[in-house]
Amino acid sequence: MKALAWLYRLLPYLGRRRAEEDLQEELCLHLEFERERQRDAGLSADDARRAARRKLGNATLIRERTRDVWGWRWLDDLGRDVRHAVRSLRRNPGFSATVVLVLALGIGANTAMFGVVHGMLIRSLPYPDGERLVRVGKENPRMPRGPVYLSARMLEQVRETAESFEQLAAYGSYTFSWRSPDGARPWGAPVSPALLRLLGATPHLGRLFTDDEGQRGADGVVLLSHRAWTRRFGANPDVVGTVVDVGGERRTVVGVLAEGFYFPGPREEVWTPYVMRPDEPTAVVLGRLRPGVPAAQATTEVRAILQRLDDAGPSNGDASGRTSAAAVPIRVRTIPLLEEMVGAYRPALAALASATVLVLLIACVNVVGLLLARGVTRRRGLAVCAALGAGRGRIVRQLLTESMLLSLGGGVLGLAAAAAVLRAVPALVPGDIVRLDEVNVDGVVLAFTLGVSALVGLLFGVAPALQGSGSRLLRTLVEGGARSTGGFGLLRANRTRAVLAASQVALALVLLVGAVLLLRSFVGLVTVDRGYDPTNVVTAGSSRPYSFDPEGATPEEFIEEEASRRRFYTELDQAMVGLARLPDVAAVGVTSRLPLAGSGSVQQRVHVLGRPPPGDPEESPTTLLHVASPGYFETLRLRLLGGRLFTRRDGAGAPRVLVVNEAFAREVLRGAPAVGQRVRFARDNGGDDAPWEVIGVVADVTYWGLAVTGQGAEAFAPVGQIAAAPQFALNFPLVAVRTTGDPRAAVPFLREAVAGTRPGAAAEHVMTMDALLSNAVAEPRFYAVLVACFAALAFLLAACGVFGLLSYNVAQRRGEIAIRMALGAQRGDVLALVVRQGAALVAAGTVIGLAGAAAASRVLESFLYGIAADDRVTFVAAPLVLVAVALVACYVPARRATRIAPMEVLRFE
Amino acid sequence: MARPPLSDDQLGLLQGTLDMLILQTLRQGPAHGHQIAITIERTSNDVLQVDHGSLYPALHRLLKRGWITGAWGVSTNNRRAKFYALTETGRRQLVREATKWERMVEAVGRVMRPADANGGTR
Repeated sequence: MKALAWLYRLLPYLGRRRAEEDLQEELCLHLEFERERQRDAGLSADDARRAARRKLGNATLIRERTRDVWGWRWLDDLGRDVRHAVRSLRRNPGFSATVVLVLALGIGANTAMFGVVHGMLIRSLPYPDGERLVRVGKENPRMPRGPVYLSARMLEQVRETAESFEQLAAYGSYTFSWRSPDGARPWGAPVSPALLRLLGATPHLGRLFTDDEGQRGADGVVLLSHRAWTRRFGANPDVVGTVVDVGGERRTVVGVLAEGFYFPGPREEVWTPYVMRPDEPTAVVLGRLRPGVPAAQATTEVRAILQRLDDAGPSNGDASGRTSAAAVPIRVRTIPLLEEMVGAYRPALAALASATVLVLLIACVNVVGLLLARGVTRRRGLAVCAALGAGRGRIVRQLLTESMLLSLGGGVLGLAAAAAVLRAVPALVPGDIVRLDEVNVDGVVLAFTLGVSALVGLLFGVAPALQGSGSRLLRTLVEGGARSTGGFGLLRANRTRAVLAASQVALALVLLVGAVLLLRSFVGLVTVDRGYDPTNVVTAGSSRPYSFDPEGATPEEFIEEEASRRRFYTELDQAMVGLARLPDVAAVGVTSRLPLAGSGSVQQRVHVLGRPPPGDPEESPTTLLHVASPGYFETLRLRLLGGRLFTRRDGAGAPRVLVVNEAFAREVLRGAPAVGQRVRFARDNGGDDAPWEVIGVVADVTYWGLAVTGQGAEAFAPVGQIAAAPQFALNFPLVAVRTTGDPRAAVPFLREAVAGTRPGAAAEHVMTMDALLSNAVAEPRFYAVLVACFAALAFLLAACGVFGLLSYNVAQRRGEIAIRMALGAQRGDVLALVVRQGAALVAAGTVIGLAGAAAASRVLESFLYGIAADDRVTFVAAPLVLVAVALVACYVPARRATRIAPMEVLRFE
Repeated sequence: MARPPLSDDQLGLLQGTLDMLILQTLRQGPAHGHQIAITIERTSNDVLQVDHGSLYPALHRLLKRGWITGAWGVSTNNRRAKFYALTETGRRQLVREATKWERMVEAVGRVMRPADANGGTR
């Protein structure tokens, strides 16, 4: 209804010219009719025309009054206001450009940020009814709040009985890398045939998976993404039916998916059928809720179904479900797919968005300061307008039009900048962030920019408008050109603007503290002692041909596979020893554990000989167990704290030995002298009862980029005794080479050595450790740099704000300063006078800013590594820097004040 | 431009009555602006004088309120003219205004009558 009314009011404008012409014609005709009537009454032609004219009256006035009826007046007024505003802004191009630029920075930053937030967190996923997709499953009782999974049997039961879901489908919790025809190692993911249907995938070529292909034995097929097809297969139209090697298996390409489809993330380029395990809850299950069904209802329903299944017998559900598991309640969770995919980025985006809002606030405050300063110089002009009859509302409107025009200008410029930034963002941001390439400037972002611009225009336009239209306006005229002496104190004379300048300082300080915290945390992250030396080391994973199918294997095949896996370590060790003889190679190592690479391994329960065994075996201490060649420790330069490292003599026949880390000595051995202790591993991982002797202790190592603390117990067994060690979790042995020069020079030799071990073996993910480290800290670095940029911007704006205020104040008080100087004030006195006022302002801003920063830095807590959110150094250094710069901003105008020539000024006044 | 002065037995229109008179005139059928003005004058035996200048703003006001519609047509002497016609809402509005007017005349009359009885002067 309201829209209709609007349309009705708007319609006349569309046909405005037409209506004007109509009215004109109507009036002419009226004159004619009247003239004829008068002639009929007996008047002469001339008299009749005159009489008709008289009768009608002033045609222009009639048209004007009719136009008023049409309601076009405000449009005319708006047009006049805009024209007037443009003229007025053009008269001060420097001022206008500054304001537009400052606003463009603020609005642009926010538009870009909103674009990212909207594109990633808000817009629904590119799957049919994406907002109703949820991940559903049961928690592992040993990992509360951990990931949730279902087994095939559970899924079947839920699919048959649950009424909350329209569709359910599973995919694997893991991704794999494969060797593409162009030699790269892109990623792939296992998905069930039903999942592709659930996600609305459509083939560009060929077909999707059939349900049969989700069964073991029929799963030798693969689907390509459009990107993989164009990049890696040269967009070959005959690719369907060809056979490619994926994950060590030969699979037939059955189709290419439509362009733009991705799942579960942007980096997966191929999909294989996901074959579910009947009894192990290892499948990730996605469901589409029926419309209107809340997630909580689905959770309750699934929990009830799983409980019934569990009650029916442990063998029916969770294979790991022991008798004790019955006591543990089944915990089911449903997580919206959107949350599952991008939820991890939410805190970082929220923090960055807060930073951009702060920048916009500072920009606004800055502009208000500028406008107010300008408002004072415009008072005379406005006073003349008021004297000539312009109402207060009219003047407010005029000033608001100007500020709106400025903010819209800033908005347009900001939008252009944001669009450019958003286009560049995927390249700027480290890593593969889901949905980031979906970010763009669409209607919603456009509306956001427009809204923010209007709001900003209103926000910074109101104060100057009210100031410019006050009742004191006419007094300006009365006072004539008399220059205000500006009062004695800055704060009294320009209270509003002083508050504004102080608040800019405060806001800038909040951002600055945040930026310093992030930067300090990042520097700490990079320079922290990680327990190893990453320079001049190149590392690689090693893959071997693998065709073992654990599902249908006989016990003999299992044993052979395990032995082959262990032999591969030995073969690699021998090959790498050859590398060590090269002139630039300082050390080589083979291991199952490298910092920044590889996955975790299985925790082994360990028993220290000579101590009473704990009553419950579950309570015995645990450790990670790895293998390492004798050269491993030297390659990484791990610090030996006691005892000795492995030698070549620690082989198969020699006594079993272990090197342990500090945490092992602390947690497992409870601080007893480590070297010489003997331990035994629990049997359930395939170990035997033979004891291992601890021969050395090395320093703890930070394995990942961020986690500085929390390293657990670790033990290394020599590669020579790998056959005796309990089962290892790692399929992929890792190799590392330390060189005396550029480690990349060793890469070809390393590849050659690995490839020479057995047919089909290859080195992969070959990276220098410096590069790995740089990647690992890319995200915190990105945040730190971004916030630092915002802070620098805020800093600059705040300094300009203080500078502008004081400059203006000095200009305003020339007369007063001149009198003071004429009466004997020295330059130092004048300097002190101005700087003191500026300093008071900066001090006030700093105190408020520190309080704000203390509150705001808590938001950053989860992004900080190694320093506290209330880090004392930061909270001292940041204000100091800010105060220093602000004082420079005070000093310059103060210097200018001292250069005032008293006689000249006084004569002029 | 000076308007022709009203003679003693001619009356200017009271504020707000022009709208009602236009609606009343259009009750007899569509008419163009000039016709409306002349009809009002003639019907009142030339007592009521329509200010032709106010006629058009008034017509457009009524158009905007949806009480009348306007369309170009051909007049009796075969001339192009814009004809205004009463709409259904306009008809209802006319009834409302006429009622209001009658009550007003009555009320004003009641106030004025005692003065007449006392031989009030002009």
